[in-house]
This record gives sequence, C-alpha cells and structure tokens, in this order.
Amino acid sequence: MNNALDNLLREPRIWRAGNNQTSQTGLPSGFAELDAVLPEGGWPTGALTEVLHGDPGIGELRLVMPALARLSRAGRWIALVAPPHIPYAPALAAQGVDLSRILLIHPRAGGDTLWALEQAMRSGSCAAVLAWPRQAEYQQLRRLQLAAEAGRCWGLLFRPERAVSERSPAALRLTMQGRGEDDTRVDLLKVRGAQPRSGLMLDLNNPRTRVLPMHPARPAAADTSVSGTSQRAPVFRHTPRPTQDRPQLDLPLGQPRPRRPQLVHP
Amino acid sequence: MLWFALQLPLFPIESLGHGTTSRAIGVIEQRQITFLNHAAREVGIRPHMTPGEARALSDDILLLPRQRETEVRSLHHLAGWAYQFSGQVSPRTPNGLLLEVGGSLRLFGGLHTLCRGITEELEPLGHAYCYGIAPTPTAAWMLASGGVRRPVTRLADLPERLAPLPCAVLELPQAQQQALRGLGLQTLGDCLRLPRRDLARRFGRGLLLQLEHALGERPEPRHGHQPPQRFHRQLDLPAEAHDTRSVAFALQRVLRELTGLLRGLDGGAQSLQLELLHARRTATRLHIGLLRASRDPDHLLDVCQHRLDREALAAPVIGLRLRVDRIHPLAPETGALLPDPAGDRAQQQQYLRERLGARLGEEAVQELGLVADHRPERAWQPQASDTTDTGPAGERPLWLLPQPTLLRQQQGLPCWHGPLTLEHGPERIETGWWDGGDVCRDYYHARASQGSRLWIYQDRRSGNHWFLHGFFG
Repeated sequence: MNNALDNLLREPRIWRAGNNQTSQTGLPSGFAELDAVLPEGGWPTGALTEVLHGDPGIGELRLVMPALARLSRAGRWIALVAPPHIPYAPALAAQGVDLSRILLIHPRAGGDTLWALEQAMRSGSCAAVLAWPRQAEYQQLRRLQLAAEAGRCWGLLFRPERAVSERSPAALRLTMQGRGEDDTRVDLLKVRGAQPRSGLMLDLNNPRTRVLPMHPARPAAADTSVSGTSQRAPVFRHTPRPTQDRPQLDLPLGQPRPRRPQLVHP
Repeated sequence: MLWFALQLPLFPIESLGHGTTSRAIGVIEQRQITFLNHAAREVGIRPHMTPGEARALSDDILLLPRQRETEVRSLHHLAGWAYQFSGQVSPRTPNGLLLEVGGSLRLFGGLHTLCRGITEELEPLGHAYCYGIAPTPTAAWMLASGGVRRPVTRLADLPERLAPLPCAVLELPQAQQQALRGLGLQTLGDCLRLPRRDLARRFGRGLLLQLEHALGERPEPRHGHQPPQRFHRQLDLPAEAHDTRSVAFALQRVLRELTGLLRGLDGGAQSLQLELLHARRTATRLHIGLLRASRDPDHLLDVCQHRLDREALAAPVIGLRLRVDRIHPLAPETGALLPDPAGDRAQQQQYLRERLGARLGEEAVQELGLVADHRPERAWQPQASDTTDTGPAGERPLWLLPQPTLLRQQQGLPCWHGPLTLEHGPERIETGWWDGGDVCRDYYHARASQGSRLWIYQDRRSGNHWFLHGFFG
C-alpha cells in the first residue's frame, strides 16, 4: 500500500502543496492586485503562463507589457513566435520596451512553431518567449513547460478561450474578459502554489509601475488630435535634460493619466 | 628543433572513405595488395599478396585500386588541419605528416599536453595513427614506424635510442631488406656498428643517407606546407546515405578538418557552402550562414545539422563537398576569470538565432525597429534601426494589421462583431503625397461590444469607408 502511495507521489503531474519548490521570486507584473494573488509575487519565471482570451484587442498584451518592458530594459531578450498580427514597434517603444531586445520568429509550419518555441525557451538566453500556437496537445505543452524550466524562461502562450476546458501543465492559466469600461476582468483558473482566484478587475491602461519609453521624443500630448498634416511639421531637436541620461527603470507614475472615454460623433 | 612525426598506416584506405568499418579491405597497386586493414590481417592476408590469393582467403574482402591523387589531396587537407599545432608542417607522402613542435611547446604547455592535444583532435577524424618525437624528422619517423612513443629530446641520445629499432623501419626496397637480414643485421644498432663506407658500398647511398639524416649528421631541410587561405574539401561517403543523419556524421569529420585549419590560421568561417552530391542528379547546394565567424566544431555542426534537417533529400547522397571561400580573422577567445552570465547569454542568443535561421530560413528570424514616418504602416520595419523617435504622440495599438480590413457600416457607423463605439479621436494623418504613398485618414479608438479596443480609420480619399487597422492588444 505504501508502495502504491509512493508511486503516486513520484508522478510528475502531482504537485504537493507542502514543498514549495519554486523558491525563485516572480517577475513583478506591474499590477498590484495581480501581484498580490500570485504566490511568487509576480509572473512565474521558469514556467508556462497561459492567457486565454477571445477577440484580440482585449488587453492581452497590455497585461504583460510592464513585465516585458522591465525585462527588455534589463538587457534580456524577448522572443515572439508566430505572432498573429504585426507587433507594432512604435507602440511597444511607447510602452517602454527596448526594441533592440525583441526577436520575431515566423515559422511556416505548425511543427516548426513548437520546435522554435522549445529552442527559444531552452536556450536560456530569452527571458520571455511569447507564442500564439494554433494548436497544442497536452504532451507538447508538457515539453514546453520542461523547456521553460530548463531555460528559466517565462513562457507565455496566448490561446483561444475554448482551450479553457483542456488540461494543461502550465503554472498559471488565466482568462480575460473585456468590460465596457476601462477595467478588464481577469480570472485565474489555475495557480501553481495557490488557490485559483476569479473576478480580478485590472485597469490595464494604468499599471501601478510603468516603464518610461527609452527616449521620450517630445512631451506627451495625448489630446493633440492632428499629428501630421499635409506639410511636414518641423521637428524641434532639443537637447535632452541630464536626467534622461540616467537609466530609468520602473518609475511610479505620479498620477494616473485620466483618460475617460469621450464619445465623439464623426 | 623537435619533430613530431605522425604516421597514418591505413591512410590509403581512409582517404577512400573506408576508415571506420569492420569489413576486410585491401588497396591494390600493380596487382599487389599494398595496404590492408586490421580485419584483413586477421583472416591471414598479408601485403604483397595478389588479389586472387586474398580472395581465396576471404571472399568478403573489398579490394580497391589505389588512388594517389586522392591521397595527396587528403594529406594536404590534413596538413592544413595540423597547422593549428605547428607553424611548420610538412606532408610526408604518402601517409604522414612532420610537424616541427619545438616552437609550439611553450604555447601548448609542454610536450605531454601537446601530444594529448594532437591525439584528441585526431581521434574524431577517424584515422589510425602512430607517432614518434625526435630532434630530426627522419629519426621521428623511424620511431613512429617502430611504434616507440617515448620522445627523444636530445640529439646526443639519438644513437642509443635508435639502436634497438628493427631494420624494417628503414625505407629500402624489398631486395635490400632481404640482404640486410641475410647479413644478420636485425636492428639499426647493428647497422651503425658497421663502417659507414662498407655500408654505402654494399647498400648504396640510400641507406647511409637515411642513417645520417636520422642522426642529424647531415642537414635535412623539409619543405614547409603553406596552408591554403580557403577550404575546399570533398569527401566520398563509404555508402549511399539515405537520410541527413548519416550525412551529418560524415560532415562532422570535414568540419573537424575545417576548424583545425581555422585555428591554425587564427580565423573563423562565416559562410559555408555545402553541396550534397548525388549519383545521377545535380548536387544539392546549401548555404549556411552564421551571424559571426566561428571555429567551434560543435557549434558549426549544430547549425549545419539544423540546416540539413530542413532539407528533404532528393536522392541518396554519395558524397559531400564543403567550401569556405573566405576565412575571417577572429579574435582569440579569452577565458574569463569570473563567470559572466551576460556574455554567456549573448553567446547563447547568437547560437539560438543561428539555429533558428538554419532550420526556418534566415528570413524567418527578424528584429523590430522604428522608422520616422507618420504613416502607421511605414513607421516600423522588420530590422533593427537606430531611430529612437517614437513618432507622433498619439497612442498607437500594439497590434497592427498587415492590411487594413474594410469594415461594414450600419447607419453610418462602423461595425466589427457588432456596432463599434468611438471613444477617442479623430487623429488625422495626411501625408506622403510626395512619394506615391498618399494617405489621408482620420483615426479613432473604438471599442467593440465584448471589450476589444480597436484602431480604426475613415479613409477620406476613398469615399469615407471605414477600415480596421489595429488592436490595442
């Protein structure tokens, strides 16, 4: 009988609540509410995170942007494997991401996608690997999870909502639902080392900590509506203030920028 | 001067691509077996037998005609490989190399380490070898032939150390060897005890010259091998290869030779041309590019293997040809005193990109950069750029569609999975009339009913249609 129990405990899929083997600290997500419920105080590194969402544009990238920006500014590489659209460089730069640390990988076939993912995760040089796999079996996810562990990499998989019912070896699974307002509802379906948690409301546009863009080109004027006219606007090259030469990591924003939706009628 | 003689007793067999096999193999020249491998020796075949005799002893034996040109070519490649250990390498036809190692001792940290380094590098090439070390090339060669690995480092020790060697180490015609035995001369010591003049009268100048060269009494200049400034190597596979795995096995050998040459020239390869030769087809050409020049054999093999994995073999491969036309200078790798995680990661990152590029194609691995342009679709590029100008101040979406999608309209309002609510805008972008990419658009932030935030525009040039251009992911 003892033997049977031992066999069961040796099963790699069984996680024992007693031994919290992941002593490493998580990657701060930039959202205080989220960090508070994640057992490592942030995104789990060295493991898979699954983000399940419906239509694009719901905030799936904004959710992870503060963490990615922080990684890239620390000189770590971020790989994007098979993105469904163009990851738009100006927006990434505005989120504080160091573009020189981004690697785009466009495999042609599905098998190549998983191979490239595993290579990128296992190599140990990429701090985060983002992927949009079209389909993933449990065995394949398990391989990826092991690769992420080996490379101590934050593996981020963006998958459609219907994958909710499938089982997965990921350390963290969450779904996102947009609301009409600025807040986005995040449900944690599976959290390794803690209880699942549902109903987190996050304001994705205003993370607690924000990484400033590399070189703020001009003062942010969000309300300037017309940005380019038929004639080129003269570009003023002002000398950067000395403070800008200092490395700017995560500076808390003094005040969140008020941005309530304004209805306009064209 | 200290000479390292490397003797490859089975070189004629190995240069024909049959080095590692358990099958009995003999090489024939002038209707006589001149070289044979261990398996052939075991069944009782001896040199100077005729092919008929050999076949009578073993019907499985593979008899190959000797190809001297191939041997000479292979020997020169091997000389290029050996250039990493010595600045003076001299091929000794047909089957050996002479390396002046006196000048390399300090670099490699002593004779013992050097010998170990040479043999360790030699193992993967798959050659049977023996070596000898002596102050003169001929003495080193004689020691190698006699199977004496203990080095002789002083000229004064030579007569004493060469004396016990059998006369078979002398390179003499068959008849003269027989004559030596007839006189009861078994060892070199026996020969050296005889008066030199009598020896010369009886056996001609050849024998005397060899002894004088060996003892250093007569200078023996060796012609130094000039390493080629590029690498062209063709290798025939012993059997047809049907999968890329067996090709990779042969490729590993060629890459070892290449990296040996590169180390000798203090250079690296950045671009490799690999051709897979087929029996009745034109060769499959593969180009393997690296981000930085390298001479690490494992790394090169890894990249080549991933490139080969991508290739579906059109026909069985009978040989391969590797060309490196340009050898790039390479700064020597310096070992760090303290572990350097950032440097290791940079190296890993480079290897990762080369692996990905080799298997997925180089165009599949891209970087991101900004371009100073107001048109959204031209404000980025799939390469790194120096521009840090983040462009106009308006908020930009994290996802951009490669092609704007035309949106349906309901009562003048755009729809995407239901009617859209316009939240913010317009931001007018009107530019590009001077280069043919004229745009005039009013951009809005819109929200769909289920929460997606969209970046849409109304095209003012084409009848105020609405287009979806991105998602605020």
